[in-house]
Amino acid sequence: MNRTAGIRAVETRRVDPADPVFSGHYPGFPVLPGVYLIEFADQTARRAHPDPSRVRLVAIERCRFLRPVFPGDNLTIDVSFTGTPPGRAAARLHTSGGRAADIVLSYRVGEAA
Amino acid sequence: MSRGVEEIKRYLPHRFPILLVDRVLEVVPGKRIVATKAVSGNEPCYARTPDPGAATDYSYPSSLLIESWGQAGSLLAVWQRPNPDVLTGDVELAGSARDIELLEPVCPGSVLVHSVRVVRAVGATTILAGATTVDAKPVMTVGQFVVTLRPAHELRAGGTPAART
Repeated sequence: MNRTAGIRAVETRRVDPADPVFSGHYPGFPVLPGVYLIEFADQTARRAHPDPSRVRLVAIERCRFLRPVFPGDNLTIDVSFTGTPPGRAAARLHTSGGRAADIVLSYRVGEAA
Repeated sequence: MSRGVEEIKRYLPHRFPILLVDRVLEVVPGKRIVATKAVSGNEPCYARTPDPGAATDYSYPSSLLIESWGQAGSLLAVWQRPNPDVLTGDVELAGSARDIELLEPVCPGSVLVHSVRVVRAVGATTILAGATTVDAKPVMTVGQFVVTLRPAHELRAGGTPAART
């Protein structure tokens, strides 16, 4: 993971073709459920956050799925936080084929998560 | 007139481990649906939970909560045109979402009650909104959720319409 000033994190992850989800989504046509991209964005955002134990995801402000993601795709997840304390994360996800999703997540900071 | 998993499978292509609706309590085609899912400590999502863990380790993942609500919405969207097989029918995809508020954590033992209403339906695209409650308390509200049906061969060729514009 690369971090730069202003709390930005860029991670890459390969979509594991052995993930059991693909047997049910969908039989004969494996495609990653869109909500997994929300999950991935959330995971990258938490790893980047300076105080991950005190953040709670409270909203998906907006989310646009632009391209289906298939088993074996390599995803790049680019997350930038804004706010003081950092509470809003804009995530852009793409594969070698192009943009896969734009997601904006909102966190509450300060309570024990 | 509640309907169980056996009937839900006649409408939706989702299968284990990602068929996340257990029962349809009420449906008014083209308008609204109420459907439930019981969350158990035996869900596959808890397979790697640390043992012993904290209570928060057992919060049901927000992504699966949204997926479950979205499947209730997909049921509503295809109720008059069942789509149980993506190879002969269409692939159901989430297109976009906005203003999903996660109000309370959900833990095993909860029964999610999803209510979904159609805001607008245009061709293969349905715009949905609604909420999820547990014991009559809201745990999530969904401002807008767009589902689209797309033939599999179009998806193999590349992006969604939004990506091409």
